[in-house]
Amino acid sequence: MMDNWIVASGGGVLIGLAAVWLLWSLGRMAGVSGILNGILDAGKHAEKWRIGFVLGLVGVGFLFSYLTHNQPILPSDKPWWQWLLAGLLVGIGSRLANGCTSGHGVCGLGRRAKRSLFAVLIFMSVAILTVWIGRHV
Amino acid sequence: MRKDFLFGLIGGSMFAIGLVFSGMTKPNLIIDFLDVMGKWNPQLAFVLGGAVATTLLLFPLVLRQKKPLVGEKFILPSKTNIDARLGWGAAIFGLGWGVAGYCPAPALANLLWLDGATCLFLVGLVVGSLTVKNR
Repeated sequence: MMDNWIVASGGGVLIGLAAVWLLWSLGRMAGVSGILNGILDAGKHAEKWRIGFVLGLVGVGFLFSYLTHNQPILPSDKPWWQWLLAGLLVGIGSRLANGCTSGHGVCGLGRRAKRSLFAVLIFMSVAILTVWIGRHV
Repeated sequence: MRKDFLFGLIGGSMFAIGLVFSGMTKPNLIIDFLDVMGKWNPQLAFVLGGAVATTLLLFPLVLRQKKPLVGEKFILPSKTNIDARLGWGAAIFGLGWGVAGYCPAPALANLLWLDGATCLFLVGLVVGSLTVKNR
């Protein structure tokens, strides 16, 4: 169990370093919903760094998990429409809030933004409540 | 290859390795983490802790520079006010995150496994993002 915590912290530091890298090299926030929205809104004219970031996330996400035998483990007890609904809610919510776990959590808290602390406290609380209702009520 | 494309690619790749390494690409683990009143698995608190500790420590050092390697200036979010739009957005986001255990980055990192559930989530994510306008 202790090993898991060390590995988890190490992975977290790497995520943080990716955000630091993006700020240092491009002057940009590593907020994944914001980066994706920039592509969805601009289409063919999307900024090249955004395309690069998503290609790296998608491509290396697969390669690294394949090579280290870390395939995704998903709950198998959910009906298909819940995945679609969850995606819709996450898409609408992150656009309204101008950020998701990475934008508000990793980057926003890192620059001590009050908006981000507020957003993180709310989405954490609601997510915890949602799981509680789904599992225990 | 253009520099900004390459720098973005490097950033996305580091991000992906961090996500896979830390277990964030396993929605089962996320739901166990959110289940604080049941079988709570605190592992993912260390992921967010490690990531935020890193940005808290290094962002100020980076921002002490006049400008980034590429580009004229640092582009930071301009909004500072806490309003209803932020609150409702975060709440709706939290609801979706709690239902599936997925937020945008891990779902994208899992895309090429071509799992039906992940693809459905991403379709929803794109449609949901396009239904709301920036403000």
